Amino acid sequence: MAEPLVFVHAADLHLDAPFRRVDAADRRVREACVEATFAAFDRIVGVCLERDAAFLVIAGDAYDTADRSFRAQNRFRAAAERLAEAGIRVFVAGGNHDPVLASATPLEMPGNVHVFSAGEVERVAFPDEDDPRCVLYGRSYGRARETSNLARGYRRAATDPFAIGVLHANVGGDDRYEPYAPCSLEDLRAAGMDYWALGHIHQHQELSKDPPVVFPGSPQGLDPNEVGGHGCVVVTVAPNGSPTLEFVETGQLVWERLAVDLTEADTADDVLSAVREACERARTGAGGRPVLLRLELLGRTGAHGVLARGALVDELVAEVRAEQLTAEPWVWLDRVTDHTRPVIDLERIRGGADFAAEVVRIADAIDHDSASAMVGEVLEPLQSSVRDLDLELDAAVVVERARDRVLDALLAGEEGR
Amino acid sequence: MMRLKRIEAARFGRLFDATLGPLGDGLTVVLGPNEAGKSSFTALVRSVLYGFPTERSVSERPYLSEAGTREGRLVFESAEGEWVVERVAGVRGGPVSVRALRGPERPDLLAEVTGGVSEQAFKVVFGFGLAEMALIEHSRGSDDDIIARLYAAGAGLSVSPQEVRAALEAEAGELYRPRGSKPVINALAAEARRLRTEIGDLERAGAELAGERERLRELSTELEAARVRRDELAVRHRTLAEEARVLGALEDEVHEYESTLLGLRRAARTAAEDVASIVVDEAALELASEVGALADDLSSFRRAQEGVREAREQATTAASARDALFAEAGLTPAEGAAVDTSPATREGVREWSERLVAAAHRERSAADERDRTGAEAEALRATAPVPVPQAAVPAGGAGLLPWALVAVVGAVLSGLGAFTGQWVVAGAGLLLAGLGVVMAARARAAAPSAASGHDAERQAERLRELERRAEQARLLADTAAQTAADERLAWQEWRAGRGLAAASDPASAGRVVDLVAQARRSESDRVAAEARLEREQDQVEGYLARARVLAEVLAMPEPADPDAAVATVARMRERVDAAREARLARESAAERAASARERVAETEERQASAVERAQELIARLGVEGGLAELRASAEQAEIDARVAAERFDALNAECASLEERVGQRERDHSMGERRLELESVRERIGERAERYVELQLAARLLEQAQERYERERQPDVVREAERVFAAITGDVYPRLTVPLGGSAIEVFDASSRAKDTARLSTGTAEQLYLALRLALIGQLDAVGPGLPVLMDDVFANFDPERKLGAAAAVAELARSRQVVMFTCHPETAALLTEADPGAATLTLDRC
Repeated sequence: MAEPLVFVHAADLHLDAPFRRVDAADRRVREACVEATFAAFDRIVGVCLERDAAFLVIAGDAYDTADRSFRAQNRFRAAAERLAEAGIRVFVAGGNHDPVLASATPLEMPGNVHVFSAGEVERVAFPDEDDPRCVLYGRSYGRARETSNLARGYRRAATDPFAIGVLHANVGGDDRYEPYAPCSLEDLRAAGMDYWALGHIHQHQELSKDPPVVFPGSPQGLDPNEVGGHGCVVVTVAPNGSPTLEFVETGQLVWERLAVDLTEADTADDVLSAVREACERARTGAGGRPVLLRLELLGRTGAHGVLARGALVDELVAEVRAEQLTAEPWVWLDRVTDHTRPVIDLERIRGGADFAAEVVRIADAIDHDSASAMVGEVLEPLQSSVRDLDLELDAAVVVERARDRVLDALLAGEEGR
Repeated sequence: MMRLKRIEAARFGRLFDATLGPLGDGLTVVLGPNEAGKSSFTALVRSVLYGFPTERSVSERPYLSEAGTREGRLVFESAEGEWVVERVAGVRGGPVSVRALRGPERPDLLAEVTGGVSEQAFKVVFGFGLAEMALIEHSRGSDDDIIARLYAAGAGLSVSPQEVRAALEAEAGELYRPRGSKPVINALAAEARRLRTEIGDLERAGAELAGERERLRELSTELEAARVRRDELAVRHRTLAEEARVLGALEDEVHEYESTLLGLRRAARTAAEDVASIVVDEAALELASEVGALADDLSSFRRAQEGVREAREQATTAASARDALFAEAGLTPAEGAAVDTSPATREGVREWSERLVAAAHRERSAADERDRTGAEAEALRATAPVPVPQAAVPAGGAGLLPWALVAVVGAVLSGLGAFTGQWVVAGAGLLLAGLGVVMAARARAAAPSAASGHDAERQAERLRELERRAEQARLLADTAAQTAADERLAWQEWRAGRGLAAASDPASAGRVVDLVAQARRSESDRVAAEARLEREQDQVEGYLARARVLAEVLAMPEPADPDAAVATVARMRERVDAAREARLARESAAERAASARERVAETEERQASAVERAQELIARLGVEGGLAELRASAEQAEIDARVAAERFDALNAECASLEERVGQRERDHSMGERRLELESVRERIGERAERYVELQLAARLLEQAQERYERERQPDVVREAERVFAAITGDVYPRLTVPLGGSAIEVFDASSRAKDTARLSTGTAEQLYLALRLALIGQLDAVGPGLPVLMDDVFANFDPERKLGAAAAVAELARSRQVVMFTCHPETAALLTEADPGAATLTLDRC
């Protein structure tokens, strides 16, 4: 290689994917969420152009659905055309969200786009077979639930100057993600690649330094759990074949979850100030990008009683949302969860002989199964009539909070007596 | 221990400036008839503690006073002092004040006294009459559930667990009800269903979009085919139309050639006729150059004619002038010819004129000097007495000698001038010499004469001088005369030698010389004029001769004189011009004829070519019907092309419309937005559901605790009520239950048969209520620590036996809390004092 080879590795674009578990009640926020995956992809294209990349690798799930919404394809095509104008090629592998199906009717893409076949690992020399600077090995999913170990089908040729494996896979059985194309790090190493361009895991990870086995993560966090940096990886292969990696953030909206300690708070104003301060913290840390913020109110606090009184949290959220949307960049207070506790001495109560002690002892006696049963019993009518209920509750925690709520109510006037 | 000492009614209902007290530390029995104000005092205590009811209150009696604004005072006492709590009716119950009558100020006394007891609780539990007896049960399930408060109080809580549970369930109910629609989760679920429906619609629209995209693809294929067919037919139409046009043009060309040939042939004939008809004057053309030259020389000829006339006039004029000048000079031409008019002669005449003038002048001057000196000498001689010897006369003054020298120099100059022929110098010398002589004589004469002797001597001297001078002047005059005569003689000789003998003086000679010179110039002019006349005459004659020769050749009349020659030449030129025009016309006609013949040939050739091409085209197209058939084919092709174009346009429009529709749908964000909205709703449902579960679990926890507490730990207060009630009823009802859930209070007889209060007699029920109050108050040491219990004839419906039990119970309570019992029944008062011998007794009179 006479000069460094630069390529950009991205995955899990999930173009046109709806954000999950977000309460985007405001139109401006909603529009930003709808546009976010496209904007992140546009940023990746910008990175390719700025870095004068030779090609862009997308390791699966470029689209969110197998039928590939026309809108998503259209935006993808527009981006590919921009890259084509700069002479940048695009290598795409289909993932579990966008397997290469015979029934799909994709839009015709410009000539710089190459989609790896689904039947077997495909070998593509770049720029051509006559004088390759590197060789890409890739394979698309032929079905959404691909459960076979595709990594075993990869094997580099001895003559390859620099070999890149492109695969959408769950490496090492990450139970946070679907176990598609399961494989181990050893399987990948055995293929002899110089760089593994992986997709499927939405958080940026480098599973191995030598050879680099990289999940770039999704370019844009798609739900409240996808906090932190999201982007793509710029790979610079030195003339001696040594790759250098740089993670570049592309997320247009930042998911953030913050805990707000209200131990010192006593009044609704104290809570409001703490929430505002948390919003400012989120804004400051977002690097000039809008923030989708979730707050968890914590602590044994004098404000617990105020918060427990029904609509205060809702009113507080409404007020803070309104004011935070007027700032730039805006912060959307997606959710505020009140997990504060009353200022009570649980041990003292537990050791007493009064009614409150009875409540504590009853709660203590509820084991995990009983708690789950109680929660299930309460949820049953809800779940039978409300389809859109997707709760992941820790029954024991719920029982604790219920206990605290009771104690808080029972002992609210104790000081006055 | 704080206790109520007095109740003072300033103005309250029937009470006016009335005082009840002093009250005992334990039981106080107040005996008074009806309308003595027992109920008023009970109400007054509540009003002072909690505020007066409004004047328009309907829920309770306002106790308005005819004496004015309601006002009352309560005097409390303890070991530390005595204080009065005073209130006047007004806004929000009226202002209240606390002041110390004795001991320290206790501004918080009122709160301390009533601590933890609401007005309603006071009314039900602390200050009650028969009317309020049943409230302790009837308020159950409400905010003023006194039974629940019993539990709360008994359980060491500030609020009722039942209230808390109800609040939790109510809050949960606001979030969700199984068949509700307004609770938040129910409403959100409905919103989610609506959004799902919308998303379903959008998905169906998406499916339609796929169909439309497929249709668009098909249409694009059809459109491409239609485009190809349209273009092919258009090309065929254009080709046929072009060929028809070409063939038509060829036919038109052939016809046009025929028409052109007709014209060309006609033009050729006309031109040939013109050639034949035009006659050219060849003679004139042959002499055209000569005639042209003659015409060109015509102006010279005319100038020569004019020259002849001018030369002739000039010769005549010059001869006349010559003769006149000679005549003026008085000379004949022959004499004139002898005059020397050279410049030397003219200079000589001028010099002679000067010399003669100078000589004459000297002559006249010398003569005048001679005459003057002679006259002076004569005159002196006549006046002089003695002739003065010449020698005696002293020499003149100092001016004599210079003048004598001047005279000598003048003489020398004169001699030199004459010798050298410089007559001017000679003349000047002469004049100078004369001047010197004269002035010397004057100088001498001017010398002073001697008087007498001397004067005579000087006068004689002077006379001698004058005579000498006169002599000298005479000599000079003679010399000058002689010189002048010599000059004149020399002049005569000089002018004779120059043919100027007739001119006597230089002036005449000069004039003659001028005239002769002028005459000679006139003669010269005449000779020149004569020579020019001859040349011009020759030119005129020559021209005339040339004109005559040409006229003869051209058979034209010869010009008789030069003036006629001009007209002749003009006619010759006209003839030549006419001849030339005729020749040009004939040549032009000949060219036209030739050209027409050439174009005829060319046109015939082109026509043949066009015919040949048309035949080839017809043969190539295979249209035996020729142009008509070809045009018909082109028209049909045009129709076909139009139909294909219309088909293409229709498909194109459909395609564009579909594309627009598809594009619009594809650009539509609705699906994404609806999905996000659904996510929002689901998120909110989840959040509320979590809260709902928490509330429900909290309620259940509470429920379980209540059940266990009720089951395992009957509250002391209920047990105390049970004991009191059993005592009042003489153990007819040894047990009672006060369920936590708000269900009816039940009493159990000795056979454990349960009865709820509805099935009890009024008196028994009131005994139960009294028992509950007494038990409750007995448990509330810290609650309302300064509050007395005020009972208004609550034993009224008790039988004597149970009155006794009740009195004993009241007396028992009075041991721990101040009790004031109002009654209008002396036997009741007696029972109470019997039960509590230490009881204070007060009486009231009817108001």
